[in-house]
Amino acid sequence: MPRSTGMRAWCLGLALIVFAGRALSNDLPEYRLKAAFIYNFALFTEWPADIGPTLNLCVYGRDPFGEEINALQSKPVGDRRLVVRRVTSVAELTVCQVVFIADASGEGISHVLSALRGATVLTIADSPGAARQGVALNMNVMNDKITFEANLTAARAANLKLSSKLLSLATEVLQ
Amino acid sequence: MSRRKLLLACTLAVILAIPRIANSLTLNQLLDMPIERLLRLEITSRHLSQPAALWPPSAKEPPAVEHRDAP
Repeated sequence: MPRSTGMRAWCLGLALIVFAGRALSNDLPEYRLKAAFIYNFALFTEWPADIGPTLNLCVYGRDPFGEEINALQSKPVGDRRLVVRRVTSVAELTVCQVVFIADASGEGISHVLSALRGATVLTIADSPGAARQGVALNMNVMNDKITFEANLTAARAANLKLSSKLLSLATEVLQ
Repeated sequence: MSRRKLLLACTLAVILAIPRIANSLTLNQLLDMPIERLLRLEITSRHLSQPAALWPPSAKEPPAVEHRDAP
């Protein structure tokens, strides 16, 4: 093989490796980022002292996170630790302190919210209009970035205080 | 193309690749970031990662809606 041909082949190979590496490494799935937001939501919430040493994070409904959210297992939130649970019925929500309402359609949200009425639970969803329906924190995707809106009334009704920093980053705060 | 130009092109390709490699983020790395930075990150995929088969809707539950796909 002539020297220049060998050099070209080497460069082509290197370029392929580089661009394949780009495609593989530049990966940030929606629900990986949303899991990170859920953790931050728990961090930026003031929890009552009487809820015990663990925070049960329940994914209600069809789980969009897969294995991803398991990385939150035992993560610290202040003095407490997160416990991730998958929940398929509203009856099981009684053990939860954080509830992510997956696949939240209109009827689904009201169904869950009425089951949680009066309970100290941080409700989170990723469905358009969920905050207006009474979910405390609702995530949206805008221009491939995650945004969120907060419903202060819902948080207060759950005996929870959202930090001013969190509220300042929300696209909308419903009073 | 001269050998020198080829070498220069290859070196440039490697240099350009470095920031992208650093852009690979695990959930644990995301958890260490401030929320302000999370707000600036762009998602690359809107597919479900690995949906768990934990949603057998009963007659009393609302029907499951397929999650939105990538546009």
